[in-house]
Amino acid sequence: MVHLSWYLTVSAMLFCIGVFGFLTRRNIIMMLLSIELMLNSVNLNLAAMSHYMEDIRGQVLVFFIIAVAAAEAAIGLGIVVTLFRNYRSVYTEDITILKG
Amino acid sequence: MNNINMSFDLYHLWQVCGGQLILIVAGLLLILVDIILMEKDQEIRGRWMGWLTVFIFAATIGHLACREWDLHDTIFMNVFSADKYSIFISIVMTCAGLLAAMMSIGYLRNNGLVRGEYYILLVFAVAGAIGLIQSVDLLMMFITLEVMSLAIYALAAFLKDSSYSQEGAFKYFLLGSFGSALFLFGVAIIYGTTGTLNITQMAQYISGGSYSTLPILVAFAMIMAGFFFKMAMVPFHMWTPDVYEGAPSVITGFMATAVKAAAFGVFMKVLFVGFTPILASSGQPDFAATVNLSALGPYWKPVIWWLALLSMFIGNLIAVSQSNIKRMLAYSSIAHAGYMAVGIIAANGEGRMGVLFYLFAYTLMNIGAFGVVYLIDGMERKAQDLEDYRGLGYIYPSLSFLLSLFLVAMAGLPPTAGFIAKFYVFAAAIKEGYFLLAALGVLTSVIGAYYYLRVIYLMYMKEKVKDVERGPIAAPTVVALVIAALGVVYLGLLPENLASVANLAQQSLAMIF
Amino acid sequence: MNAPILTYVTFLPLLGVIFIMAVPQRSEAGKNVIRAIALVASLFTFLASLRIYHAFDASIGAFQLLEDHVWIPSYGIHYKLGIDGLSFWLILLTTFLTPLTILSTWRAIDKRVKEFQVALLVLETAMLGTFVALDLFLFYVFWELMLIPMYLIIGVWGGERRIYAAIKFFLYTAVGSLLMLVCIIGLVYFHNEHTGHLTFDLLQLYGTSMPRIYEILFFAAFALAFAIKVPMFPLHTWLPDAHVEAPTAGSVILAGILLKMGTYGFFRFAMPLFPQGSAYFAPLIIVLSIIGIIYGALVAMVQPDIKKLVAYSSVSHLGYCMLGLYVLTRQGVEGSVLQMINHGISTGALFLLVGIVYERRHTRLIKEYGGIARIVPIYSTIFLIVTLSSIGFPTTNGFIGEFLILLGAFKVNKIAAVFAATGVILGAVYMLWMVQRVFYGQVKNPKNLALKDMNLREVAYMLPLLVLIFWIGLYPNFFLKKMHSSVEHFINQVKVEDVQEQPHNFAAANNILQLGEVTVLKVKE
Repeated sequence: MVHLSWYLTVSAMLFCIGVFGFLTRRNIIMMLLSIELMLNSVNLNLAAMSHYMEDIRGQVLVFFIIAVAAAEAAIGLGIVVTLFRNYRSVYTEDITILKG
Repeated sequence: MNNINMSFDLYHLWQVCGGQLILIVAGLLLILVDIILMEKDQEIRGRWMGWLTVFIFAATIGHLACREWDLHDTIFMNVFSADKYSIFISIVMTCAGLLAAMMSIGYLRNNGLVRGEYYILLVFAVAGAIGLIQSVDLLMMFITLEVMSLAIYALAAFLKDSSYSQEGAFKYFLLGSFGSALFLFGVAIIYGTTGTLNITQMAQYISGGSYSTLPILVAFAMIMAGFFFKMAMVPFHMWTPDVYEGAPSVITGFMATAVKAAAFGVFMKVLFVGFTPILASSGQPDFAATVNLSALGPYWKPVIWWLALLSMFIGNLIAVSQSNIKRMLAYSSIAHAGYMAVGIIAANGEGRMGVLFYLFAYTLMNIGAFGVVYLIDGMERKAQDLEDYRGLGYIYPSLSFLLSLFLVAMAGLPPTAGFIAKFYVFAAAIKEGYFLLAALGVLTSVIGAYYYLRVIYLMYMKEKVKDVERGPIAAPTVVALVIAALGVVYLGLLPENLASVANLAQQSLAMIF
Repeated sequence: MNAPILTYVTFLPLLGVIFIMAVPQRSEAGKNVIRAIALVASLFTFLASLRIYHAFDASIGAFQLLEDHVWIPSYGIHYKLGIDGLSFWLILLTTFLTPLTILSTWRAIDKRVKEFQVALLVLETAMLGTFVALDLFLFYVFWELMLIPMYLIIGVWGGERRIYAAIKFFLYTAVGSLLMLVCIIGLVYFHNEHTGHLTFDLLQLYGTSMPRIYEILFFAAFALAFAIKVPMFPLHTWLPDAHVEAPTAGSVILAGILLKMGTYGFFRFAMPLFPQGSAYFAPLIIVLSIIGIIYGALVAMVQPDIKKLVAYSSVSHLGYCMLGLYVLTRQGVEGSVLQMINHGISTGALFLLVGIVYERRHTRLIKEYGGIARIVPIYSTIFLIVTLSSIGFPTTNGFIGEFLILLGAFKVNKIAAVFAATGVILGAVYMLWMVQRVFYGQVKNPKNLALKDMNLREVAYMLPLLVLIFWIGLYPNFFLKKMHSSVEHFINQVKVEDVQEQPHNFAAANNILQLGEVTVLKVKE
């Protein structure tokens, strides 16, 4: 049986990859994907913990997170579409009229 | 977990979750109304939707104010709690929603975007905020946080053809989701360590003392960071100026107040109920014992001490160099988050009461200020530069006077609510011996006074350089502005009534157990 | 219980504000109605304050005419008013000067008359409130309330660099007063710790025991707030700017009353609340007041602008007030209180007079004038009398004040007294030199030939001031007898028990004084 700490390590690594991607990527679609990665690492974490603790609530939480992540992606992509209409670009360095 | 009670009657549900129920049901009905009105004239549609929303918020405030004040209970397997604390903040946020809705009627008409979904999103945002403040379960906290945030992302992006609005909303969305993800990771660690998602059970676990400190600390840090994003505390403030500048003015006012109130409210709840209480033998938290004694006391206090100081300094300093009034108010909002955090550091009853009072006062003055800003603007971004305010004091005397009043209140000068609010939080900090923080804090408020007064001197002491034509003034906006102005002065002269209610509210944090 | 007369006096000007709000100011007649309402409101305030004169019992050293209502009970904050021998005179000074000021603005302020008179009346309420408040929180509210109207008066109706001056005035005052607020709260919590009683009531906070280091720190913060207002050297730099840029009415109020807030604050709050801290800083404050006296006089001497000259003379005069307070003898303190009133009258009168020529010639530079005594005889006579009063000529009020202060100083510290006395001589030099250059000699500037003498309105508002100048100069006891017991009460409060330390401190002060002398000599060169 795979030990819990393996799951936790993988999940932590995924989370860190997500954070790293979010901070370094300049393409806004990739940034969205990084956030999804972070959320899914949490899902993995929760599912594993739930299984090892024999407590169902962790998995309930996973379902909620999946649902919320979908809603979030819908809103986020909606904003990306209107943003692209206004800027004709998906790179953060082009989207900088607000500053100061 | 032990006392799961699935049976509940409707009366009970109404008492505990009435506010949310009203808003969610009314929000769904609003969608129907919007569809029915689709064929009608834009003017009629906007007016109907606007007034219905105003009515919905008024009804919610009415319900919250009239429900059984002394009822302390939880519902849905300890997910939502009803207590004075959450009712108080719910009322603050619904007031923000009410004032914003009143102003929106005129705002949308001036900008030619009368669309029903605006009000629907506003209603759902407040519903989510009330859910957030009532939840005692980290899972529900995440869901309601997202309900509120998603509605506000959409509202911030509401000016479809404005690059500013889109860019601001997108930054808000990215950093907001990032904050939520951090929060969620913290929640997962808490779940893995303590085996529960309920903050009162979590507190019992933590005050039991038999845990390894590191995971709890990491989880604590991540959950706090998630909230700091919403509170706009330095160093999680980067999105604030862009979003506040880009979003529709009324929504900016709403974001700066309702979201801040929700974030501060839930932050204090998680901090004082979940992480740091010292439980007396009865199992109730003993708020009289100092939080320093609790296991996490030595960790969180210095952190918030520095964050509060940095928020006050950076917010006020950068605001000085701004040329756009919305951006300036955005930085001032960061600074105000710092002032409120001073009340949290004090970690005593006075401090919590001060924060609650501050939230209410800030709601009135900030929404009021943004109301005037949108009126002077006419159309979004037509006259938002500080230079546009030159000489306005003699062209639009009433509007300028109102704006001056709100700015003076934000600067914390008597006799306004802003002064009393600052007094409460600083007095609480001084009571606990934070002299240095208080002294540095009031010095930053001198910087604050400088840029608030700069608007006043531009309005009254400079000659105008260009013609600024304000938009037509809508009656509901005027009513909202007058309510806010009277509230600011009333709370400045007679704060005791609200303060005593806020005090009861903060005491009821102990009742969540 | 008697009628709450202090409340009436304090808030009567606001009643005028309500009436003014209702009058439109489009027409010339409307403006005159506004001015008249403001004048009547301030005159009624003055009449009401005369009731205080009757009600005030000079034999009591403690506060009287107390009014006490609960305001914010959870913090023990009360609406508490009361006066003693010092605030009594300052209230009368305020209510006396305000109508004169309003009269002086009749023609000078022609733009935005309504806003101006509203600001002036709100300012009067705030000033009166500051003098009568006996609750630290209430005091602070009034103290801060003064800022906004004064900021507007300087900034909207002032001269060319008015915005700079207004902001400087605001920031200086705000920094000091906010730190004071922190220390007020600190003091209240120390009191709470000791007695278990949370209160902002000044009378209960007197004599709060706390660690000496805190007493020193708190005194420093209070003293900073008040020293900026006084203004004491080296915190005086906002004053010349504010004075020069402010309209005449603003300068009169600023010099006549606002500066007294600083010395009043020392008398009422800083010194009696923290006697230990006060004793610790006494040498420094004495030295700074003497530097202020001499420095103010020297800088005044070289000013080309009459108004700036008068402004710097204020620094010098207020130095005397601080010195008088800090020698802590009866003569010194009474002289200091009297000098506060004198300065209000003489310097207020000087600013009014400068305003009169400025209205006619739109310049205040000394070199633009010369020999105008023959052209405007009434004006010149009045100016000379006021000048004499300002430099402390016998039979005028200035003499009594300065004499008492120097007398008090001599008893305690001869060196300080000697240095202070040089200020009197320097004062005579710069004032008389200015008078000579402006009024005597040949008429050099042809523009001055058409100068009109004072009209009836102008004489009408100068006359009461002249009467007071001689009244105080010839019969000072009328004024002094009202303050004897209050001053004694004050000295008993402030005197520190360990008399041993006092001479030692003064020795230190003398050393610093000698250093100061060297610097002054360098400045002279």
